Amino acid sequence: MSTPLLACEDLRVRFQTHAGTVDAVNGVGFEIHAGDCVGIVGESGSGKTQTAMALVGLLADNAVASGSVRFRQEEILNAPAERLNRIRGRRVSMVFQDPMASLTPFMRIGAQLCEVLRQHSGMTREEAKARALEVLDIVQIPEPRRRFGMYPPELSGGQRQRVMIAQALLCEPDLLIADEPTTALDLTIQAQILDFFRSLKKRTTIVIITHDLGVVAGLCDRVLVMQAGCIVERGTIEAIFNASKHPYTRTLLAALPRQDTRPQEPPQGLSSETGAGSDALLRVDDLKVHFPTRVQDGLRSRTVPLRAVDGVSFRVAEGETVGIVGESGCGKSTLSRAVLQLIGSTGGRIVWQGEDLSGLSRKAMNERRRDLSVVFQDPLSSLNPRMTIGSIIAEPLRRFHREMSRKDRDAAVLNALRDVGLDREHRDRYPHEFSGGQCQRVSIARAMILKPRLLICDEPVSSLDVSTRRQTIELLKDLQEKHGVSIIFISHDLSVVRIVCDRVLVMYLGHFVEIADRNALFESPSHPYTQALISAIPVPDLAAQRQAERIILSGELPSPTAPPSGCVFRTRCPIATDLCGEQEPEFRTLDNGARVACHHA
Amino acid sequence: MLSYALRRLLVAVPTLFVIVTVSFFLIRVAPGGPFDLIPDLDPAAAENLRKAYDLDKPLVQQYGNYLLRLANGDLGPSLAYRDRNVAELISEGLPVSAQLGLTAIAVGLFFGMLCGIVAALRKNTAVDFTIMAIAMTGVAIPTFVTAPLLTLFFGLYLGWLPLSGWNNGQFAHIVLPVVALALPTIAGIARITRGSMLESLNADYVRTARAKGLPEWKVIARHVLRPACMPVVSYLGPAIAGAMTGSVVIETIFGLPGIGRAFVEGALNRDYSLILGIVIIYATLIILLNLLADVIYGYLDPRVRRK
Repeated sequence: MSTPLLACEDLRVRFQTHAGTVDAVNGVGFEIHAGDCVGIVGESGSGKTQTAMALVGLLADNAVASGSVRFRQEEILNAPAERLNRIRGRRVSMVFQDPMASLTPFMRIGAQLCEVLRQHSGMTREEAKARALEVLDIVQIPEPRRRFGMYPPELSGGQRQRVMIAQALLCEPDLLIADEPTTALDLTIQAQILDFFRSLKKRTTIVIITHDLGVVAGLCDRVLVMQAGCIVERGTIEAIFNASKHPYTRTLLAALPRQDTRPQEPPQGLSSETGAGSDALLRVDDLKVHFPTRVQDGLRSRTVPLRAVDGVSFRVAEGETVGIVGESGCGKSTLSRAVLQLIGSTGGRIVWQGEDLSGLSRKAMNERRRDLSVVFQDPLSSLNPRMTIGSIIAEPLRRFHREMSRKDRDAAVLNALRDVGLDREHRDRYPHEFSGGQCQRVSIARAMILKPRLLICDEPVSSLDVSTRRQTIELLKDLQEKHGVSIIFISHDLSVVRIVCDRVLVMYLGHFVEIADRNALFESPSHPYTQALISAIPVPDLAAQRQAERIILSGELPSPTAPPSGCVFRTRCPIATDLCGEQEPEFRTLDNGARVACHHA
Repeated sequence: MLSYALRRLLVAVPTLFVIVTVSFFLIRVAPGGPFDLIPDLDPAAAENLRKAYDLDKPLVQQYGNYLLRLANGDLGPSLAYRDRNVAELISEGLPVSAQLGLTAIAVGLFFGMLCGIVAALRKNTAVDFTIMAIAMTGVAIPTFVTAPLLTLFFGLYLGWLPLSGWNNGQFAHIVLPVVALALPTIAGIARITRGSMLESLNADYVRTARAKGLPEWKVIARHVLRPACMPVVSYLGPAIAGAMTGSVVIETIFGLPGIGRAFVEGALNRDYSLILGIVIIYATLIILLNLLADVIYGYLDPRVRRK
């Protein structure tokens, strides 16, 4: 075999912290050959990112690296910056996770691209500009000349990641290392970027670092699985996915919901018409939430409504789990806050057990909160850091059961802790002492302690690792079975929604586009947006990845201050016609019971 | 940006009006009057003085008259310095204080940022600790202690520099007051710069810049320094206004004919028109410099500009 492009032997990274030393990477070795596409997969804390940083000398100041990293047989681990700088950006380039934070916000895109070329290739200003524009075109940025003079915050997330990739490709590097390149992006944008990475394989050698086996499945030839600073399994993609030997790899694979298999339990036999009766627990009619935003119009500024939620109706029946899915900016979180009356609505009605909530006084509303509970996305920041776990969970009892004795309250808290799988010793500790998954259990215990009738979960598992994610979902389902609570489950992650929900509402730009029974939705999605979303899920299954015909939506979400006329989805829709621009589609009920707002579905 | 600046200037007019109104009535609330310190003043003469300076009319009428004169650009006569008007006094004192203050700020900015940047780049080393220890001392020791010490050492003991006096702003005469004024500024700016440098060195985009293979000095100059300057800019706005309108301590110790001393004396003498005149100058400076700071902010960070 030829000499490797990059060879890494017994790489160790250790951090000196106030609390002692932390071993992040414990003797990792691998080789990357020209033309490879390798995935390094592991959960947070597995050392995958630190391994990548050590390769190019970008570790934090308090890190000590040992072992050997050879690039084209030259030792570069702990090499002086001058020597590394002949390689970094030129022979080896990086793409980082969050393109918002990883591009310098106050420098124009063009200047950031050109400085790489001027540094490494000695091009003149004009030559560098020409090359930068050429590469912006390669990464399919619309109107590269205009973007060239813009600042990163003026671009959307997907475009920023394209700029980041363009920056890495400028000098035609031998090796491209991408650290979670699509994690911060929306599903349909992630599909666009992954598709682009596939086309890049012909140009350069790629190392992709990710927590998501689904990302690796459609892209990489070889996979390294990392756990606790070690490579626990390595092999070709087929070997890893079809015949993994290490239990950790199998856990990772099992933790990921497979799109091609049905969930074990059948749904509770509820059709998409469920909750239509007047006895629905919650009924939302034509709800609108608009935020006034100021836009500069020449010298004067005027106020334009941002239509976050623009006329949605749905019902939730007793004991039902309703999923609301959509990409960021579609209005799903605003909708949940409006239902909870945490923000006011612009129009429409929210009828809770036959009573219109929007007309209630603050005091009366607060009484209703006893039966309306919520779990937020980021578990750590939604728990008060100065309160113990016990007092966080007991707080709703203090508000709604003032007559309760201290002893009874303590007993209730211990019960709640046990219900969510935490120990009684945890009661006197503070949120920062817990992991994300444990904090989310505390949030759930607090939300459930009053035995509410409706629980709204806003992206409850999005910030958790895949294996914790599965456990948290199981917990929610168990509690639902036990207490019969209805759940509104908001998520951008369709594979999670598929496990949890009986019925799914698909939201796009403040509107629902499809409302369907879970199985109908996933087996025969009717709306073109739903179809695209489902096809964009990176599936951790090789056969499915290869067979599936991907629908990759072009373009990005339009501004909710100026939504398209007619059907809001038409600007990205593959089957849009003139009719879609003229007339807003009404909901129609299809044969499989799904209700869809599309002229052509 | 231009329309933004113009709008801010329009808002400045009512702001100034409010400041003038509040100050006018506040100083009148203070007990005593401008002629109380004249020894053996005949009550009839006092009455004549009050009449001459328009102080015998009802307060509201005096206020109206003052605003009318102000609208014509007339700050009125001084009540304590006979036959001088406020505009004259300010135009004599302000250049002295402004020259002194601006030089001190320039010196403070240069050395302060230098120390802050060096300390941040050598974080947690002896260099960092030394610089920060000195800066801490600089913040802690007031100018009325450093100024006499400086004169004692360089003026009396070494005899290198004159002890006091302005002498038309001759270089040797302004060295000691400038140093005394600049020391706390250096210390303050060094501390602010170090903190913001450390923060901006931690940004993800700095890692990106390093991954591009740029030499460290280019990383610092292009990707770190600009955001690190922002807190310094917002510190400078009010600091410059304060420095330009003079320091009573420095002007008294070094015997300088600046506006800071005039202000305090005016207050003690109940020289109503002089106080109001200086308040107007100070308020205008503050408004203009804060506006300038905001404009510079917009230049440093395009995100601010878009809002």
